[in-house]
Amino acid sequence: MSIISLIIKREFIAKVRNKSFIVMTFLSPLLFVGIAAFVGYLSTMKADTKPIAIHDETGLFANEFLSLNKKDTEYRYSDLTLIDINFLKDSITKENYEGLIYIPKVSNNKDLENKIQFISNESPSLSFIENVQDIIGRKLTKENFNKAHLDTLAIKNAESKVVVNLAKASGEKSVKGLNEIKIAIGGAFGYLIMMFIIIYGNMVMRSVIEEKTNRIVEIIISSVKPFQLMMGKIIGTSLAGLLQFFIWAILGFVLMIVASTFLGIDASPTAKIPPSVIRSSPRIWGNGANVCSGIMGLAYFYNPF
Amino acid sequence: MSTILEVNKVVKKYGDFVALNEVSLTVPKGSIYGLLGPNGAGKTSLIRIINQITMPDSGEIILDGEKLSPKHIQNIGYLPEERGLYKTMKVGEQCLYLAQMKGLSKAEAKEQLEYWFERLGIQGWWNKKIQELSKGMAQKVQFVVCVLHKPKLLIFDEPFSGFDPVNANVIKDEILELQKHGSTIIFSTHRMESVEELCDHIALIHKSNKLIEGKLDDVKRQFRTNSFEVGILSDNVEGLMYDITQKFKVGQTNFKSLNNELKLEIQLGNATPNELLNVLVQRGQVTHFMEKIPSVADIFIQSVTENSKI
Repeated sequence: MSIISLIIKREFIAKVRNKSFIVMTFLSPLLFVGIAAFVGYLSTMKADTKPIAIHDETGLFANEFLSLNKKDTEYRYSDLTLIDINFLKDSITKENYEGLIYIPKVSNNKDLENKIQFISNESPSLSFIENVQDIIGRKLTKENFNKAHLDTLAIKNAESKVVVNLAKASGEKSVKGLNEIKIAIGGAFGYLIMMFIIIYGNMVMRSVIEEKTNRIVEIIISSVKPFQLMMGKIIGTSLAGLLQFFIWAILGFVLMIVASTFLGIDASPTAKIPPSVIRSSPRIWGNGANVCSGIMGLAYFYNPF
Repeated sequence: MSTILEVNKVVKKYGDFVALNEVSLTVPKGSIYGLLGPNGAGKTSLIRIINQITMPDSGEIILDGEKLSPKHIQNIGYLPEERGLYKTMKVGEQCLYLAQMKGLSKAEAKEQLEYWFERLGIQGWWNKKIQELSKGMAQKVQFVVCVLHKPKLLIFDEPFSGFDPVNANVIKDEILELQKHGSTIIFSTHRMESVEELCDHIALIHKSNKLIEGKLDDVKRQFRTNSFEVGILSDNVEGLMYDITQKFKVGQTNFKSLNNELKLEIQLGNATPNELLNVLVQRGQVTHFMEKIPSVADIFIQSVTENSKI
């Protein structure tokens, strides 16, 4: 057996026998799935309804918000236009309102674009503010059309919403949103690959540190060339990482089958993962891990004795 | 006597610090060669260069007639002063790994390991992890790893460090046995009694320079002072002292004895031992008469002290 093969074998076995490898490989996917399921469960739980006060001096917008009370369970709107604005501002926290939408009276509707305020002690979510802007914007646009004596119905009918149908050259229909899926999967894989490149690079570095700390490095270097030692470490550690990767792929596949067969969960979105993504992931991972491991290992190795 | 190792004008610097200053040594084949020197003299630097752990800045090393190259790794066995093994690896597995690194096949390595384990009485350690062994036990394992592949040249850096007297004796016997089987041994140590017992050649390095090299007996002759330790029982000590001081230089000394005699150290100068004996026997009963041969420790201290004054 060549020296490099010998070192590869030792490094691979040392990594694979390590308890942390076994935990990471078999328990962490379950942990990951468990956390994702828990987060998903929390996100489906009903949050408390947040009360929002409205002070609409124009009289144009309050009803738009009040009509949302039937549909929106997250926010509950109340029209408090008849109450003095200064009093409302002072009492907003005491009355346990999440915030106050203040729409002042203006001579020109155009001025409203920059005069509307949301008064609150806490920062509101971006989606809430965007929703408020959207509701007021649409109503204001409609008012502007009316003032300009434009037929809003005619305008609405004139609007065209175009839908492009995707098809392949063979005549089959293609799936919409496939690119988005690819981007999401690519992003997720890219993140995982980066994480593991760093983890495995770190492992090579720690292996070099271990040999320097327990002083076996003198025996090793008197027996093999530094290049052979580092190549053996990098390849051995990378192989352990690839093994982990494949175990996860197999575990994931098995879990998918179990989920779809016994729990009735639709696993079809995962079938849209392009084969080229799956094929190239180990290669990308391997190349990245080798480069990162090499840099980290050499940084520690060439410290003078 | 043929040579196994030649070190020719080797220079090694670490920045501005000169660790080895044109050091040259010749190690005869089949000898036990003591490499001596105070701390920081350059012994370990030289050993690391021979083991190709570091490279010299200039000079060359010839091993068994060939310029030292990576292929000679399997001809050298090295036991470093700072011992180290993989703590979480099992003894047997680790020894096989290290032996295969030295060029042995797995089968050959296993055979040799079984031989050595039986020889040192450590068969039961095969499946133990290194961290389960004491320091001395781990060092025994490391000794086995060093000699396993039957190298031509063995280099031991403080081989007895960490061993109790019994195990130190075991290692000493193994070193002598290895020499009998044709290995050449270089060993670096501060234990002068080990040098006296084992070495037939020595070299002394001090402040990156070689001070002394040669056969141990020749070196001792070089440092010989032609002095004798004498024990004598005399009724007329004054007369005795008068006679002796006429011809020789006399001083007090001490040695172990069961008698209550006068203990003297007498330098003969150009006289012979018989001339001294003739004077002594006329004045009393000689109970002790031995040449004071300089010990390696005496030679070491004297050389280092003289070199430090220069």
